[in-house]
Amino acid sequence: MRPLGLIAMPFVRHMSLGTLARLSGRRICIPSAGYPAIALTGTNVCDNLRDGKLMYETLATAIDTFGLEADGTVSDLTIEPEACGCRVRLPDADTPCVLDHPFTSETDVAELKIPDPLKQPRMLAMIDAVSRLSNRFTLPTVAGGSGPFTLAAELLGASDAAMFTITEKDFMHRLMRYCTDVCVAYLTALRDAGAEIVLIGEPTASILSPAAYREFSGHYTAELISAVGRPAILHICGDAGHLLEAMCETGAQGLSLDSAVDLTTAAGRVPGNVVLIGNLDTVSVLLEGTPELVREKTADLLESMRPYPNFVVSSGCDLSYATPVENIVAMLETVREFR
Amino acid sequence: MTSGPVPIAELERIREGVISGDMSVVASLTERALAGGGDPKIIMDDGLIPAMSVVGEKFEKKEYFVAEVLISARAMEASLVLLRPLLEAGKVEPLGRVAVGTVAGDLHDIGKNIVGMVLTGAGMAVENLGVDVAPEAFVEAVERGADVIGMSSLLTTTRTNMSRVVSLLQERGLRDGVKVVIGGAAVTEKFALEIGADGYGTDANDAVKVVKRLMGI
Repeated sequence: MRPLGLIAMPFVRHMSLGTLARLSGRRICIPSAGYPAIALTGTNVCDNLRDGKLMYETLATAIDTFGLEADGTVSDLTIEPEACGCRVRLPDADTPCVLDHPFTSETDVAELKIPDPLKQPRMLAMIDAVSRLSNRFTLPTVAGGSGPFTLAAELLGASDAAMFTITEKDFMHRLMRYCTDVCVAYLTALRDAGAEIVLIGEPTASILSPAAYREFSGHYTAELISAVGRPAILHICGDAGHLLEAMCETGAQGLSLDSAVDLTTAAGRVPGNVVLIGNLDTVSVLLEGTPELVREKTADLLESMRPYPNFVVSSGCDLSYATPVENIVAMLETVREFR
Repeated sequence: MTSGPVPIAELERIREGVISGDMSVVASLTERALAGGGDPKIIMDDGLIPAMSVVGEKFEKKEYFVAEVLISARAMEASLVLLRPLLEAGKVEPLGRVAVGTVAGDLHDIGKNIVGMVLTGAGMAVENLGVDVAPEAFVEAVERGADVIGMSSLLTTTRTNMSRVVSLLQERGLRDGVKVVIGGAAVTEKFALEIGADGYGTDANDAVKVVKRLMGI
């Protein structure tokens, strides 16, 4: 993207992710580096997730330091659960998490209100960050939110959410309807603030069978993507190998996959217009490895994916706060130098 | 309580109930078998354990996913709550005692539950310590008699708490009497070596293999 510059932006804005990946002239690399960016600037996670201007400044520093090829927000899947009534913990130097799961199969879903993104302080902070990023940078602005099943799993607890897909199907569909409406409202607000690509984080869906995924996540994700009306990247953590075809059915233009999935195998299973995004190991390579190991593994990945134009290099999942800066630089440099 | 054989057809129905995850059927079959003088150890060894091992195999082969395994585990638990007091009263020793938990600061629940369930299916007595477990609570489980502690971490910032547990065990002079096994997306074999754990499991079925190997079973 960066080499295309400002002049090309009006054209680029209407392209699909597949077309962008093909036209970029070289591989694009978009590590999920929001948390290392916070470490880099010496600020703390809690403040960044509450203050849109600070998050923007943090990400702007990271974009300049690393030469990132998209401006993505810090990913935070606790925003929607908090707006729906969960308590959350926002640490100084760690990923935020949801502390309780107040919903049960007795929850009266019909009585629940859809949180208004413009009245929720943390949704507003993210909206502010997206707006500032989009105004400042010519790079594509990527804004993330929770997928509908992941939100439901935070509201109920993941074990109950999983079991209810078998034992309480009617209730689960009512809850999924609500969660989808919450996700649509939030992602639409991020779109209106300037997000050109939406990243739907649906990590918890990896625990579902393909049939249950289609019924309780994929079906609702498709509706979310269609309602937001922007190119969408769908991320599922862990081993999502059994879900690839179903993920493509959602209309997502990009699938972001974790290191447990073999991308060359995945490439044979997804249509050529769906971009595969991934999947360097965030722990054993990018957190624990040396820059030499990062270079080696990045080069191996680039080489193995050489035949496939529908590929963007990234980390398999969110990078940990403690990921060494030199490892992120090594990853980006290896991608830039690769021909 | 007298304890005698359990009809083969009844055991078969208990196994089917666990495999299909039918909690109420498994509970009532267990009650009936016990009321008929059935040996709780036979219900455990020839009913629940082989059924959970089928569930574990189906999980490995991706015929079953987390939801199916959890429902089977719940059905098994419905029988186990009836059997446990009788097994303890009869001084029936399990194959081994394992305490599992997610380390302090980390609230991921499912992975270690699946591990605990598969270990139960392998004949271990499993104590589930829950999530966000303080180092002290792991040590207390060892003092209660755990042969193995299984720690899970899915956040790289919380995994350092695993080494705190190992040091605390050393300080209390308990380290030699217990095996420490770790797992979860935030840890690796290399990390297990670094912190002085005895083993690392990549998934639930691997965890069982590691625990069995460490216990010499």
